[in-house]
Amino acid sequence: MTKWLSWGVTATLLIATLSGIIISYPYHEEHPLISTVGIETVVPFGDFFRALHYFSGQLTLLLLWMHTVEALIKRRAQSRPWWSWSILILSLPAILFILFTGYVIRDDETGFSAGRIAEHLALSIPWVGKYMNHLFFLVSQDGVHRPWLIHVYLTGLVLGGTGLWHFRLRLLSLLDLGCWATICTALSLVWPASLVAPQETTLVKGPWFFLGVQELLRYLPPFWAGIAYPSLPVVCLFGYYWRPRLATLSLLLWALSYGIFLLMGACR
Amino acid sequence: MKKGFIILGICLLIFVVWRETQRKRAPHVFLTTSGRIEMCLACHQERPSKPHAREVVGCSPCHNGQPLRIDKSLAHKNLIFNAGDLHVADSSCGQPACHPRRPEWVKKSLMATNRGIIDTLRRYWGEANKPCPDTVESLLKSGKNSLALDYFRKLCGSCHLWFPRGKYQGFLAQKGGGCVACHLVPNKKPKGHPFLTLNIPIRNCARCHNRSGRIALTYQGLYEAEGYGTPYLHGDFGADTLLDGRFVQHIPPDIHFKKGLVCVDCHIKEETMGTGKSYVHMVQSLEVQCTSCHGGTGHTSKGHIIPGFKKEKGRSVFIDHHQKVHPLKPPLPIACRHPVHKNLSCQACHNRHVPQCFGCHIRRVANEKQLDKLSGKETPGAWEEFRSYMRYKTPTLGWYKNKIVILVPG
Amino acid sequence: MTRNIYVIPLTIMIIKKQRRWFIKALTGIWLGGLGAVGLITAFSYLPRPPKKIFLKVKLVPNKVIVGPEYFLLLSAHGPIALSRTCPHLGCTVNYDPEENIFICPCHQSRFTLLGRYISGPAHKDLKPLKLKHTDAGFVLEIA
Repeated sequence: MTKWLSWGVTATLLIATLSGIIISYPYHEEHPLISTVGIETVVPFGDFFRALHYFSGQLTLLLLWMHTVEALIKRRAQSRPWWSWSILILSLPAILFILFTGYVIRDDETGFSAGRIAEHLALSIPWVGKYMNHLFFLVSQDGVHRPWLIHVYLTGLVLGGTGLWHFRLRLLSLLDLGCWATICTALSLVWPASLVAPQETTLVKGPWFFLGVQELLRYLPPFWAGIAYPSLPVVCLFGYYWRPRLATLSLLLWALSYGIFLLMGACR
Repeated sequence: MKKGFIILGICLLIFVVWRETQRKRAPHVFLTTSGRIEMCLACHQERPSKPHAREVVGCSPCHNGQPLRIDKSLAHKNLIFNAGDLHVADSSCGQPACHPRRPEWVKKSLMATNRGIIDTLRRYWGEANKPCPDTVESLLKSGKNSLALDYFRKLCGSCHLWFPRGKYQGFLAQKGGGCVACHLVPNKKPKGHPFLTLNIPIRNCARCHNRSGRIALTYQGLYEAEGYGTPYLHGDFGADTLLDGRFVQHIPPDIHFKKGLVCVDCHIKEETMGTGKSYVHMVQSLEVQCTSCHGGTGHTSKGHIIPGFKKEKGRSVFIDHHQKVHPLKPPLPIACRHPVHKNLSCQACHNRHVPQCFGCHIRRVANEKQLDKLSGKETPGAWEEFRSYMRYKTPTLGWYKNKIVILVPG
Repeated sequence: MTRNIYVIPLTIMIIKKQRRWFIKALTGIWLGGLGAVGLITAFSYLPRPPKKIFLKVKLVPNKVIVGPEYFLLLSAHGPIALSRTCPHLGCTVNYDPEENIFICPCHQSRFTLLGRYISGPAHKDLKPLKLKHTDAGFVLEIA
């Protein structure tokens, strides 16, 4: 019934990947902001493909989120083995992480701060924090090099992992891909992809989905606000396989609280 | 339905291609000398002044906008035309890397607050007993009004730094504008960026300081004549006219003017822009004295250094803003230092004439409307100023703070 | 003898099975080890040489010089340089001339002009930077 949703995720992810490949050519990771601005202002069609990449990426996250809710409602978890469910759930934080690193590697005001915060959050994880940071961020030492690698590699992994899953069922129809391309193109023609110039202000806002965490970081220690609290829903989704009721209740409560923090952060 | 989407997609693609052909792409990413991205420079060729060179500062630090974009509609978002406007100066001129805190101080200076005018008006008109806290900024925010304040808003209200430059026509167009009220010199090229300067020309000061004591006029050797333009010469008005239509006649100018000094040679930045203190009257903020340079050490009464004062080969000289060196004459040992004259201020002897306006009176026409220069709206009640006659006369002497000083009617 | 007829091939089978298992384990160790060694390479990074900045500026009281990575100002005890990296989560701290303090734009931590922590989630002072005053000007070391 809601096949369009699951195929939408695949289609938008594919569009994001393809447009990403296109803009990765003029992009230089050693001059992230300069090359991003170059893509926006110098390269022919650059701003269009950047916006297409941006909106198809955002749409992937939104659709995947809806897809997850749909899967929960339809109790899809129980019809699969537990490990298959867990792997599918992993795609949600993975897509979120890809989107987040996308902000970091453009290295504007939002991206720069987001990268620094992510690095410190990774470091706040006990025992493995240092290694996580070395693998994913290390922006203070290495610039956007590592987030950029993760942005590309993780996309490949997710596309390979979930793509295999879906393509085994049925090939994504070209017509569907075309429709989603139209939607993404329309979005990118209405709004430009965000890009915030570095400036001396007393307030910087992170990516929209991160605003709740940003707000919470004002009150709680980094580990609890930035790692423990955002990973709760993922744990709940894993746990859904065994304790669906408890997991659903916790998910709803979490979503409600995060919504409030998100609004608080957005209204600043 | 899906076919419709595909056709729409093709149309969008055609639009994207067409849009690209209409667009002027930047040749490269423009960077300032500090490495900041400034795409404004892709289109704008303006050159404001050396310290604000386009390659060093760019446009966006002053004029805001979006320096990472080149599409006009995006790039000009949140654009500020007059960066010196006191409403925005804290984040433009006063930003941390440039002139931090300066706008904050300027906002407390008398040229921005007009506290002296407001206080005098309200006290003389019986609206207040003690020094009023009202300033132009507070009136702009609160919209507070009274009879005296209505008079201030409609007549005096154009001579302050909060006044929106270029909003009104005629002689008001050049007035106000915050920092640029003083620091801007027009570009002769049409549409050229005006120059920002520290060498503030007298005409910038004279845009406001031409009423009451008329100091900027007298300094240049201009005397505001009666409103007839007499004496008539060769069938025309014998007097020159000011921008606002008043007639002026030429008289001998101040010696400092003759030597080429401008107002800001003596009136240093601590005096004009303030040091963060909020004064009620001009006399409190004045600190430069004749004896600061003439027979002095180049320090004002509050201890600030007068930059033009220098010691060269044992003698005191004054280097003006055009780098011209003037020898400084010390006060005459007999005439000035004699105990008999110890109570005399310098001006008591050296200012032989001051413009004097006799029989000043004002009238309020209740059934007419006049522009409130603070709110920008026409409100009921129009004020008119009258005088009996103007004279250029020996000033009246008076006793003020143990000194004999000149008194100039305002 | 009859027992041997069965035992020998069984033993050979077990040995063969074990050998297969053994080879599998060896392959696991070989490839896993390769991966683990590779991870060490991925985790490590080449430290950048410390950045030294030469500054020829005149310091006056109450004026903060704002550089891309540092604040330089004149305190009562002479010139000091502070890192602009927020001790909370590493955002770049900005100078707010209106309140005359340093504010982190990400989570609103506040610091005095001497870098002392005032409020917000940082709970630590801004880090001072190594500053050398030479005849030609200031030499700043950014770690």
